[in-house]
Amino acid sequence: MSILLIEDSEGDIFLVRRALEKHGLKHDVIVARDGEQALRMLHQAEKGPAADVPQIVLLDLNLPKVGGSQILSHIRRTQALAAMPVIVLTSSDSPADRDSMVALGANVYFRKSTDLQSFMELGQVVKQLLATR
Amino acid sequence: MWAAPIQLCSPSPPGRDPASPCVLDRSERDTQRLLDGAVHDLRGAHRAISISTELLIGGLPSQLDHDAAYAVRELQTGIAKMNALLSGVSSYALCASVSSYSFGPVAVETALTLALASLEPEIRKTGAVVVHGVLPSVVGDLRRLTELFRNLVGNALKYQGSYVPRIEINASQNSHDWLFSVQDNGIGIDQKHWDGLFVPFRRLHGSEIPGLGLGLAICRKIVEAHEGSIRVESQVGLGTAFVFTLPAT
Repeated sequence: MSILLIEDSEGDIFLVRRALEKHGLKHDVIVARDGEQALRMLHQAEKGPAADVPQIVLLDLNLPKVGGSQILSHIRRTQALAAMPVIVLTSSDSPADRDSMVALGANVYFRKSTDLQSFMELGQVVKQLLATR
Repeated sequence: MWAAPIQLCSPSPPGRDPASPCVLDRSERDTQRLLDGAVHDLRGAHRAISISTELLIGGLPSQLDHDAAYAVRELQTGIAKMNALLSGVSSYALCASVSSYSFGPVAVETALTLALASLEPEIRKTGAVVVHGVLPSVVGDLRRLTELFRNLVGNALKYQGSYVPRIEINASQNSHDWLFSVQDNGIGIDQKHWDGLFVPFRRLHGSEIPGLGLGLAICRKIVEAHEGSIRVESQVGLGTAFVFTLPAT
């Protein structure tokens, strides 16, 4: 069982891992550090056995090479991946950004907080989303 | 070098010339991108500093020596200031970006009511009386018009004079526009400061009245995105009126 984390900030990768651990999530966390790498991983997953498809994707929006919105679109229009839950992680507090991500098919829009406790709530959000699958 | 205007047009107010409000020249577009990019990356850096500081402080002994206590205090103060600054600049960047607006019919009274609800603690604290006349419907972005009123009424509450604040919001119509006024009985603004009032980071007061100096700059961006204009009328010691126009449909 794996979680695909698409994130270019080492600090945020550290915090996401910590949030998952804090909430007892022991999944393998596979990290893609730019959009191209993420798409390569997703192409591999869609061609492989269903068990290789990540259980959930944590997706930063502002990524090098290919942006998060393009990755989300790819996931939603690819049959083997379309049912995968996606949590969008972002610094943006723009309602327009949130609306557009929800329209593209994001399950949750999680704003990266500047305080530790709020950031750690991401683990709970992931846990709840996995429980509904 | 001359740069051809670039159409970035978004949802412009229906019935208006779609070219006029949302054509930004290349320089403006680049500035907008610079602002968006800087805000995004600074948020990341701020988050890293803020959370790392929390982690470090969590590992410190409860009794700190003088230097350590000073350093912790300064870090926390600096982080809070950065937070306020980023929120303000982010809000300015959003309001300056016409493509982020969503225009539709808006009852101005709804925008005002939402603004007053968000200011309820300040209104209660100052005992302010806020009254308004009949307000029309316009074509606009409800969220941004709410922010416009929140800034203007918030200013009136912040810069109160020696009286209990009294704030009046009224509207009248001329041939093309609705003319709105937000009038207070606060400390007023000397005429020599009127020109720079809507410029970002232009503050007329020191730390005795906290603020970033972005509120009125944001107001101007919102009004201009609606094809209107904003100005101030004021008398020191008697009060201030912010007057803005929005197109009548």
